[in-house]
Amino acid sequence: MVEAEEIWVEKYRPRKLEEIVGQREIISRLQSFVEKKSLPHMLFAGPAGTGKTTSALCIARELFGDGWRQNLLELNASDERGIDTIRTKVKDYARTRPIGDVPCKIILLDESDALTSDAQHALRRTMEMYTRTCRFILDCNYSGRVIEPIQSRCTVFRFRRLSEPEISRMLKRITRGEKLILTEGAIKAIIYVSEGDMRRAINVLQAAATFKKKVDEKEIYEVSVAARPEEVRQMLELALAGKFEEARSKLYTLLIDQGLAGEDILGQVHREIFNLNLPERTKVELIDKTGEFDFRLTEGANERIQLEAMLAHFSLVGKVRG
Amino acid sequence: MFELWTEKYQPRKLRELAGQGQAVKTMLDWANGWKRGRPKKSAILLYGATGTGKTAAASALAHELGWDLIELNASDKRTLQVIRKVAGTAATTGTLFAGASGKRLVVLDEADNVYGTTDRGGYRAIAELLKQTRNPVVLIANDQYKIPWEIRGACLAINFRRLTTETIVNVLKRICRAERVEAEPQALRAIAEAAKGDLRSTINDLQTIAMGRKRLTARDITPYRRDREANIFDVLRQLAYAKNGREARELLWRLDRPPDDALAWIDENIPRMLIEPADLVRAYDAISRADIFLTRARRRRAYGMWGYAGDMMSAGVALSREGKLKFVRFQSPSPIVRFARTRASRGVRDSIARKVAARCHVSSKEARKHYLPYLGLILKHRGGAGIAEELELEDAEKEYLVKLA
Repeated sequence: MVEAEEIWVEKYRPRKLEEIVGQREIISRLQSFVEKKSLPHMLFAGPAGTGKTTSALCIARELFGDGWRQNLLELNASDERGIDTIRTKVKDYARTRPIGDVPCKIILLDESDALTSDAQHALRRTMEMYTRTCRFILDCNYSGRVIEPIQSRCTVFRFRRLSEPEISRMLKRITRGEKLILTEGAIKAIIYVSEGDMRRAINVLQAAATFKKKVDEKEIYEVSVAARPEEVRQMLELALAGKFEEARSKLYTLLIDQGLAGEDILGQVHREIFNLNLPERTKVELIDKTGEFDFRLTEGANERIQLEAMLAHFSLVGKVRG
Repeated sequence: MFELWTEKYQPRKLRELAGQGQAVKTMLDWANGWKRGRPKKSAILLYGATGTGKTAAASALAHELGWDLIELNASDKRTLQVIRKVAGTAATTGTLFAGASGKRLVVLDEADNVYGTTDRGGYRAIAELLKQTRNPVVLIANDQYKIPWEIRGACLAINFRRLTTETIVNVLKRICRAERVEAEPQALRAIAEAAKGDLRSTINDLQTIAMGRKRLTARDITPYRRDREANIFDVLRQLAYAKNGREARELLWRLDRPPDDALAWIDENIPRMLIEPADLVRAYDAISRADIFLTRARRRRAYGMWGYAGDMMSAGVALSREGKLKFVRFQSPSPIVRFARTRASRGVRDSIARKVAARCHVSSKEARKHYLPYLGLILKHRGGAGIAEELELEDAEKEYLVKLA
């Protein structure tokens, strides 16, 4: 067994660009920016756990050395309430000169696609105002959700899901560092459950390693099941069985007690639909419905009400099936 | 020619006041005390539910003892200046006509809802008034506990109870005799029961229903049931049965709640009454559309959208039904209940998420999703002392995580 002394995602987060696994072309271009000490505004787009934040942190470390924390402002679009807060923080931060002999400061805005388009327009003006002292690195999952005017001011880098050998390389690095034994089956299992998301891969490994020092695929699946509750599937089964009220109650558990976001639940519903015991054509209809409700959420509609309405559709399908 | 019966039949003498025998006696004793100079308590506080006779009792008292009446509304800003003036002059001197022996009864209505609560200026003025006055003062309030204790303590508190149905029926009978309306006892009973001890609203109801009628039967009563908060259940039930759009929409208007609140009640209760899944789908589609209109109203400040939202949640929901309804017990929107119940644990969860977010370069939303479940497992199996220290987790936070796994 292994002493869980630190969060491994942080412990093994690369400190230098060259240590980053995968994304070779992107990394080499970033390295040349650092060498020339000249950065453009950048937009990092891609799925979770593919190295966007790590790349930004590495740039700051390499460019600024020991004082990197003073010259990097990390902001989060979903935590900083509204564009006004972001603007104020950026303004306060950008007003002062960079510390030490460095070309600029960096402002890292995570989840920038979580901003409404009005907020993004405001952000664009802010970006322009501080171009002399600051560079922006914007992280997002989908570049399409970022407005054109921002994209056109940024160099866009598209991070892709990590491949099996890439994840496997990182896992081996950790295995050596933690003196673990990881079976081939376990590696395959981690790759399978992590879906190209390095952060998830490492978190799953760390949780599994708390069971036993020798990690096998059994532990991996146990962890990933425990970490991804079956409740979404149970909720759908209840609705399909005509137990609407129970399904609705399950939904409240997910939304309120567990605090899942509506879009995450819909995402899981979407993934589950093809596993359900339903006629194929019905599945397609349900996907269409689910997509419609997901869209309503993006327009700011009430999560609870929209998900209830979705469950009603499932219960109708269940009745037809039964 | 149109006179409110509540005013027309307002008691002139304290003993005419219905159903508050004990309170009346205490008031008279206190008032008589003023004949021998300033009693220990210069003020009384009449508290109790709406429509139980507090204001009527105050004016009957003044009338009965031949005192002038100065009535002030404490929730009004202008009144504050008046209170100060009254405290400085009227409350300390005699009256113009009766000389030094004459008294003025200073009545402060809505004393639990005083203007200037934030700076406490309002209550300071009242406290001053109570201290300086040489005239009797009456404070009137629904909720005595909303009044600061230093004021409450300076008053003789007198409770006005909700009136029993019997008492109310007797008053209604008397009014009917005087108005020459022939009323079935069951009819009066029905009106009285709906009002939950509020005599004023009952008399108003009676006048509305009796208008243009010489005879009142129980059947005349049903459409006029008074809407109060408890009757949200009646409205929901009628809404579920409503047959046309106009009727449904008018039911919603009677609810008199903000639209998102009304939608939460409808969303909680109506779907549970539906038996057919097809009805359920249609009802929810209407609810969902109503929600979208509310969202647009809010986001774009296009409050005209509220009208469409209202129609979708009332008419849209009512007309979505083809099958039968089943009986359910209505309840308040459960997410509200749940939110209240889970507030503490959500607080713990969010505080962990913020700590993880600060350490791991993610948002707290992502921290909740990508880290918390794994941290739970780690803490459960190994204690994870190092991580707990790294994140500076409190005991309650560790417990939360372990339970999560």
